[in-house]
Amino acid sequence: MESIVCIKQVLDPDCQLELSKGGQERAQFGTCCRWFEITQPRYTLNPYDRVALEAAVGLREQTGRGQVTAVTIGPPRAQAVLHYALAAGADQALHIWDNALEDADAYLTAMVLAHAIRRLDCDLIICGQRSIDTGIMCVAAKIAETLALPYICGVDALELADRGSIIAHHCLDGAWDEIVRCRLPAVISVGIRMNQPRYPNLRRYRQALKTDIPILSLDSLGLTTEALKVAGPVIQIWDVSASRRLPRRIFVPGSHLPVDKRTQLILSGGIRSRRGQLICAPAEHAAGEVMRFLRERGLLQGD
Amino acid sequence: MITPVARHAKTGEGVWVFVEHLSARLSEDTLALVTEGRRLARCAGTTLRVVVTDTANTEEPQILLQHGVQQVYRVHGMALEQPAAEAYANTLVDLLVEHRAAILLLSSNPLYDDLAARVAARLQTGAMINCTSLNLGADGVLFATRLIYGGRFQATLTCSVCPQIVTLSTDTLPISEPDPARHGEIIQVAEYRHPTLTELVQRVRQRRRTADLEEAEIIVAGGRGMGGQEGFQLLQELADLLGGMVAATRAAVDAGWVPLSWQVGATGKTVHPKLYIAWGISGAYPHTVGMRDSETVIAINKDSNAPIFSLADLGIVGDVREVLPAIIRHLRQEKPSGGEYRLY
Repeated sequence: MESIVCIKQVLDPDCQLELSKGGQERAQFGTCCRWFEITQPRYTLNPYDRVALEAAVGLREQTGRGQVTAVTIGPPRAQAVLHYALAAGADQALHIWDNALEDADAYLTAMVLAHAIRRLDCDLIICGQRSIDTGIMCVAAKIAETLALPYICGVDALELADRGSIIAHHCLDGAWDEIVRCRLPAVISVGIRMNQPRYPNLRRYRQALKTDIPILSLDSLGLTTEALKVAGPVIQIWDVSASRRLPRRIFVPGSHLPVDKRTQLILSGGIRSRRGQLICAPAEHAAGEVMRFLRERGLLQGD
Repeated sequence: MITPVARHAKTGEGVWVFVEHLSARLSEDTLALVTEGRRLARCAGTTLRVVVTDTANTEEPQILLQHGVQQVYRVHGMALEQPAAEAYANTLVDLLVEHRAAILLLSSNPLYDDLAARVAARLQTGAMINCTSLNLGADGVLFATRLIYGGRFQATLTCSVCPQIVTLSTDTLPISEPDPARHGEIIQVAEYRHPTLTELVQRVRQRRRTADLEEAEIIVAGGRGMGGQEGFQLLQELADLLGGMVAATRAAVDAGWVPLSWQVGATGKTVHPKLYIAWGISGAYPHTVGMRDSETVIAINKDSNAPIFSLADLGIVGDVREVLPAIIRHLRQEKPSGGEYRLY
C-alpha cells in the first residue's frame, strides 16, 4: 500500500499571538500571519495530520508492504514536521517550497501538492480533515478533483477491501453516518477520532534529524510561476480581528402581535402553549400511545 | 510573491441555497439559512433560489416560498443510493453553472462542508467553510467571517471567483416570519444523474451522544416525581434506547439524585432538543424556561393540572413508575438488536 500523507506545520495555537497594531492596509492572499505579532513563535504538526500519518503507517503494517511518503509545503522551518513524520514511521519525506508560495491559500497549495503527487506512484493519499490554524477544509477535495480521484471526507474508520478497494465510515451530520466504498487510488481526509497516533520512536527521531531533506522548488516540479498565477489563490483575507462572542438566539415575539401580547410574551419568556393531546389511561395503553406518537414524528432511532 | 490575475467574475446572478433532508422534516436550520439568503439577495438586488431534494415532505416548497424564496428548484429522484456529498455535488455543479450563480449558501455540518469543498474544487472557486457571519459589499462581493486559531481570532474572507460558496453556522441566525401572501415559482428538475467515483455501501441513522446537554437532540428529563436515583437509572435506560441524554429539574438536583450538570432551567442549562420528554415534572416556570424551545414535548405526570401539560404536544396523566417501564418494554420490543450500530 503506497501512501502519501500531506502534512502541514501550523502555528501552535497556544503560543503567544497578538494582533499587530499597525493593521493591514490592503487585503492579503494566503496566510493570516501578516496580521500577527508573534514574539516567540512555536510551531507544531497539525493534529489531524498526525492522525493521517498513523493511518498510513497502520495500513502499511497491515498489508506488510508499501511505503509511506510524507509531503509538506512550507518554508525551511517546516522540516521539523517531516522529521516528526519520519520518526512516526514514514519511509520518505518530500519538502516543497518556493518563495512564490508565500502567499498561497489552501487552493493553490492543493494544486501544487496534486502536481507533485501526480508524479509519484501511490494507492492512497491521506490528508487531515482540517488544519487547526486557519481551518479551511478544502485541500483534500481540491487534490482529488485535480487528480480526478475518488474522495472520501472525514473518515472515522477505514478498512481494506478486496479488488483494490477501501471501505470507509464517515459522518454526514448529527444523525446520519455513511459507509462508502471506492477503488484505489483514492484520496481521503481523516477525522481527529480515527485513531490514536503513536509516539514517535526516539531512535528514529534522532536518525531523522540527521537526514537532510532536500527542498524541491516549483521548477523541479515542472511548475512555473506563470502557471500558478493563472490558477491563482482565490481566497483573500480582508481583516483579522479578535473574535467576538457568538450571539445566542433569544426569544423575540413576532412583530405582527399587538403590544400587550408581545409584552406578555417577553415577560413569560416566550413559552408558547401547545394544544396537545392529554391522555388518561392505564400505563400499557399510554405507552402504546407514546410509541405511536414517536413513530409518527420519525423520532425513533432507526427511522 | 504571486499576484493573481484579477478575476472579478461578478457576473453571477442569484443567491442559491441548497437544502436536503434525509429525514422528512423541514428544520429550523433551513429556515434560518433561507432568511439569511433573503437578506443577502435583497442587498444584492437579486433573486433567492433554493434547491431542495425531493423528499416525503410535499409542503416544503410552499413553506419556503412563504419565507421569501423566489424560486424553488425541486430535484427529483435525488440519488439516495449514492454517497450523499458526491451525488449532491454533481447535481449542484450543473445547476450552478447553468444559471451562473453568484452565491451558494449552505449550513455548516460535516456533509455540507464536504459538499462545499467539492463544488468549489470542481468550479475552480473557493469555499469559505464554517463561517459565523456574512456581509455583502459593493459589486456583490461577499465578506465571510470565520473563527481561526482555535476561536481566538476571526478572519474576514472573500473569494475572487463566482460562485462564492459559503457554509454558515445557523445557530445564531434569526428566522423570518412566513407570509402566506408571498408567491414564487416551484420548478421541477429531473436529476442530473452522474456516476460517482465512490459507492454507497450503507447509510446508517445514528443518534450522536454529545457531551453537551445543550447540543443533545433527544432529552429525557426527570423531576421530583421520579422519586429517587433508581428512577433516574431507568431514565438512563430510556435515553440509551432513544439515543438521547438524561436531564433533571432543580428539585432532583437539590435532592441529590443527579449531578448539577444535568439541571435544565433558569439556573441550569437551556436546551433545544428535537424531543423532550418530561417525567414527573410539574412544569414550573424556572424549569420550563430552559426547555421551551424544544421541538416536541411529551410530559408524564400524575397530576392532570400540572402546568407542564400546557406545554406538551402529548400529555400522559399517569404514574411515572408504571409508564416508564412500559415504554422501555415497548422500545426493547421494537429493536431487539438495541444499541448503536457497530462497525465490523
